[in-house]
Amino acid sequence: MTPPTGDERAVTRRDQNQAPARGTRGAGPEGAPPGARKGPAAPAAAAAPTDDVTKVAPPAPGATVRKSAPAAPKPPVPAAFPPPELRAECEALVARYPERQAALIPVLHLAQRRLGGWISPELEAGIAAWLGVPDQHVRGVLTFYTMFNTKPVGRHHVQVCRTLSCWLRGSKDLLGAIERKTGLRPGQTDAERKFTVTEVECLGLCEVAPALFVNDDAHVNLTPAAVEKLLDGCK
Amino acid sequence: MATSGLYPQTKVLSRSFDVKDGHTLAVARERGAYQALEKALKMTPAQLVDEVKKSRLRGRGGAGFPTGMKWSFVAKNTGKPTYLVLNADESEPGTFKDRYLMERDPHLVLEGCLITAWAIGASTIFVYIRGEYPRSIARMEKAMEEARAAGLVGKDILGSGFSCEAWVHPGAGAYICGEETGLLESIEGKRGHPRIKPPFPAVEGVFRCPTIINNVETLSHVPWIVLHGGDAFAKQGIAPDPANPRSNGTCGTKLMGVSGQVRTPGVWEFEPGITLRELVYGYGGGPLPGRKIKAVIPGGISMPVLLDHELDAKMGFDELVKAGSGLGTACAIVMDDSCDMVDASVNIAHFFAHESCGQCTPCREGCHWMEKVLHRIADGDGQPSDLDLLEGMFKSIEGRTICALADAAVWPVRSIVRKFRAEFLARMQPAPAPAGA
Repeated sequence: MTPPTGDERAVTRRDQNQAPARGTRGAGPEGAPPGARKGPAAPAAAAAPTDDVTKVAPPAPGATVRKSAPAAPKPPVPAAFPPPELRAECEALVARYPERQAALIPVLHLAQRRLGGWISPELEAGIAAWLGVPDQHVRGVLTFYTMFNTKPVGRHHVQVCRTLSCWLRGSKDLLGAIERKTGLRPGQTDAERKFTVTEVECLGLCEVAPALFVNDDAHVNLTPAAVEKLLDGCK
Repeated sequence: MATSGLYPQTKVLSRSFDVKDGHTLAVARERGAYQALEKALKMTPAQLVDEVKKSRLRGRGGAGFPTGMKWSFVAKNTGKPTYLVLNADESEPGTFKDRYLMERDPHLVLEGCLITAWAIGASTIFVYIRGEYPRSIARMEKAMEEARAAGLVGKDILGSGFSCEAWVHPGAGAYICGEETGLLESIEGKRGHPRIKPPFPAVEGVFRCPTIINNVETLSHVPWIVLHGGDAFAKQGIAPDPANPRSNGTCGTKLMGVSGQVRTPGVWEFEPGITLRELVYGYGGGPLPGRKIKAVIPGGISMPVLLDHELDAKMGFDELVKAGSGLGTACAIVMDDSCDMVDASVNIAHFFAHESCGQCTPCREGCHWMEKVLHRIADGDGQPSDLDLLEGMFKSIEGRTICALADAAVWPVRSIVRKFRAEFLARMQPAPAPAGA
């Protein structure tokens, strides 16, 4: 058997790209793309490396060079979800929607609030399994919405609004006061996990700016001195 | 400032804002809540849609689409359930009017939703509230619970045979979920990527079923319209311009807010007709001591800025467009002469770069690029040619994406770059000396 050259493979790929979509004019029964995808291309690609091993030829231009793949991270062991204390609430949330997936955001909120303040990879996998959606989908949602924490946060999560109305009323000074008091800049958590500081976009507290949230509690009309006092009160 | 000279307030939506326990069913009912629902359930859905069409009510979320017309688009006899979604994802910076409604008069909001559900034939209401409003979420959920116990939500409402469920769906921190189709995706448990329209939500919305999406303030007007008639509503505010057949006026009342560098930020309700100047100087209290007002964004963050001498435009949909800006959410953000406009543009551009959902290339790349160039200018490393570069970017971003977020990113930044060009040039490096000089 003659090993296919890089050129032949390139032709195969081009043909696939140019094959008209199913149902369009000129697509005969033989020219349809489904056959082209799985037919000759797959065994050719598999055969190529074994036959070329001794030659050590430079790869053809445009050909994909395979490196040994990095060790895949171990998939997390899904946490048992929902835990007994949340089962009833989770079932009630799912029952509101015609599709289980729709309960994802409310369930993530519930899990984050009641199960340690963040969504661990294990919890993420557990929720995905329970809702019957792929892990990747849950990951996509978690990383899209800023209120979900994918890392552990401190007991007091200080979220400072940085958007225009708060910025005009001195939100930068609040961040300065927080750094003086805790040594933390936005995005940081201290070693004891007492505080996490986050810069967030508009909290909708514009008429009482500058404002921040500590966990779910709003604090408004702040000055740097008031912020220092507020942080002193956090135990 | 003497209050006698101020433009008068008209408290319709805000009538219970300062009432003690106004958010509870008992107090709300004493003040007339759910009378409109009783009346509406005796009317036919078609009559209700007609009444709202007559009222010239326009969407209060920023776009100003005629509400009655939107309702009439809902697909009928599809064999699928119809949904009503209340857009309470008030994520527009500088805007907090819907928070007041949900925290202080949640039963008014719920009543508006129930009447609308009857008018469009919906049997489920989802109230999508942004995650940053924990109190609004709690108050709306409590209101639904109370209403359910009183037979106002659920099966056979007030013995009319009409059944409708209502649930709060919390958001989780994404500006884009205020865009109606991004919001629908979010209810379905997905990333908030706006959809290509058509199909419009009225035909294929949440869970691929016909869906009507309205803003909180919009539906809060509906009970009053039911009780007093669409014509009475249309008589209030700014009438449509007879010379412009496409004009719908700005009828009824409108919640308006002021935030930023003013003495008394807040939210008030007026029959439209008040000018931006009266709002900012009268109710907002004018600039902080020793300061002058430099620029105002009339509604949210997404509209072009107006200068102090441009503030005499009335707060109306058509009037502010004529003035070169837009009503948006009617919550103004005020910047005084201590505000550096280059830094302000960086702040605005950062917001949009952060909130772009990443679906469309012009927005995903453009907003970040815009922020980087503005940052460079703010750091003193800019060149005059950067302003031309920005102009080019504005052209390649605006109008080239699925939703309006990209336009909203361009408008304020472009207006600042154009109106405060001198400030940008003053921050730039002197041009490099020619070689050999």
